[in-house]
Amino acid sequence: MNPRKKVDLKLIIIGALGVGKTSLLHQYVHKTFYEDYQTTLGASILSKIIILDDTTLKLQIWDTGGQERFRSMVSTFYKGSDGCVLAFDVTDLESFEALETWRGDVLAKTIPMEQSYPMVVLGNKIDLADRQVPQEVAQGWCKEKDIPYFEVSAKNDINVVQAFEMLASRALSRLSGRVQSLLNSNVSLYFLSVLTRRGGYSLGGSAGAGS
Amino acid sequence: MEAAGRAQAARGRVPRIDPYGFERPEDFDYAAYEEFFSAYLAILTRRAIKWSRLLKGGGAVQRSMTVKRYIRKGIPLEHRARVWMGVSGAQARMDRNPGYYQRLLQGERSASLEEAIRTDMNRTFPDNVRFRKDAEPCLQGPLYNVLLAYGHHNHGVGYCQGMNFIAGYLILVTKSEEEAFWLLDALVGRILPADYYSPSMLGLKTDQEVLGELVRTKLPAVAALMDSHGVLWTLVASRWFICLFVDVLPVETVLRVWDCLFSEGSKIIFRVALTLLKHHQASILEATSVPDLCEKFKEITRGRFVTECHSFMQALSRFQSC
Repeated sequence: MNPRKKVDLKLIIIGALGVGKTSLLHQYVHKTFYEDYQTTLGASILSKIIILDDTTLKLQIWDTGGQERFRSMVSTFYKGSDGCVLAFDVTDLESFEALETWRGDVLAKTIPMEQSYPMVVLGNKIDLADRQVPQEVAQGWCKEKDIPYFEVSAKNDINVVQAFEMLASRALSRLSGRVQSLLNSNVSLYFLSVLTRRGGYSLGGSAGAGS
Repeated sequence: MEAAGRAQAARGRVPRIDPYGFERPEDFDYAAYEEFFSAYLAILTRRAIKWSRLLKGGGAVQRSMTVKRYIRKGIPLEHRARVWMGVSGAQARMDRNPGYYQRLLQGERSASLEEAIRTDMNRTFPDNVRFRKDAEPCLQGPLYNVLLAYGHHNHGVGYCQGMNFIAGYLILVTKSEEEAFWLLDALVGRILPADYYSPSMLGLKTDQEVLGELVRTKLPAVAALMDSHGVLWTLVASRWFICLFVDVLPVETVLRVWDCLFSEGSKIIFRVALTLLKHHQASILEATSVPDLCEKFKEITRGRFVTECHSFMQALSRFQSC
């Protein structure tokens, strides 16, 4: 039968300082939680292999961090990504209000495609008491933008897996959609093979460069 | 079996927390470290005797060929603060500006600056027992003060992440807020190129490009591999430059690198980077993907080559001539 397909996806996680990007990622990839991580400067990559719809997905998730002044360096990593986690902290209103900017930033850096660029929004730290962003408000914003919203806790491992898998699944369908549309438009098999082999790693632009 | 026994014994003898308060990582190789350290201890003792003779009589440490040569061979911890203060010019500035540091802390405070610094307090060395919020005394207070004073002193920079790690090391070595402040001023204000930490970060971006060019000249195969994967040096090297190898290399090795940084300037950063890349060239060239490359770049900052700080610094000195 159909040998299991293998696909590489490059995902990124972005959001304001201290919302728990590294914590979410470590909870998802390593199933661990620490109260305090060292400040993330620049970017680091974590990998995880998951199976979704008969497809083996190798996720490369780029953890990004740093103040505003690091943004121009870090945003070069958005290029070539297949999807994005937008994270905020439900106890920090400013981090929610910043989502608009983060979303704009990432859309400006990724190449517009026929299918919309996959994103999920994660409202983190729902385990804390001093909540500033009501669920309905966050939900409303996401609905307007047509982005799935998850209320999560990296600390208590609530909804973290679901959120990442939703993003992975959307990124996968977008990729398959692109392959399908190439098939339909009868573009040469060469490009098809480039697309399916592509690592999603390409920072420099052209898909599958150097492979 | 015998090796496992040795490792177990070494684990019993080598403290779990290093002399600076850092917890050793889970996978720390106690046996290899003990073997290295017993040899290094002999070197340290020899150097300490020479330094005591050199520094006899007190007074500020002046730059000279002898001092430079001594510094390359390592400054004993008990003299490190004094030598850094002397050769970097920090001591002279501190002496010329009595009370300046305290005045910076007493003046009006910028709320946004304070908030930016506060965000990183629990995120600076969570693996160091002296920086934990429940430590007694806790170094978060001095760290906060040094960063706040520096932000007021240098408005163009304010607070840039990465400076928390640097100031943290300076506090661990000097055990003095005021000296740490003046050393931070020496680094950010004079030793490093301009605009390393300012909002444009142009100096930092330039240095990353310069590293790329140096690699192209000296290690063309590595440069070609990086190009073929479209990997920007930013991904690999930004931490190296911003944190001056803090939390990248082992603590003792970072301090030895800083010995030379204070005495010889920022070219040392390139020498460290190139020495690492050159020594591990064969291994780096095995990488077949970007995550692979990232893993390699993490690996090359660990292990014997960098832990054995004395021979690492000798390799650094040798590199400049090739």
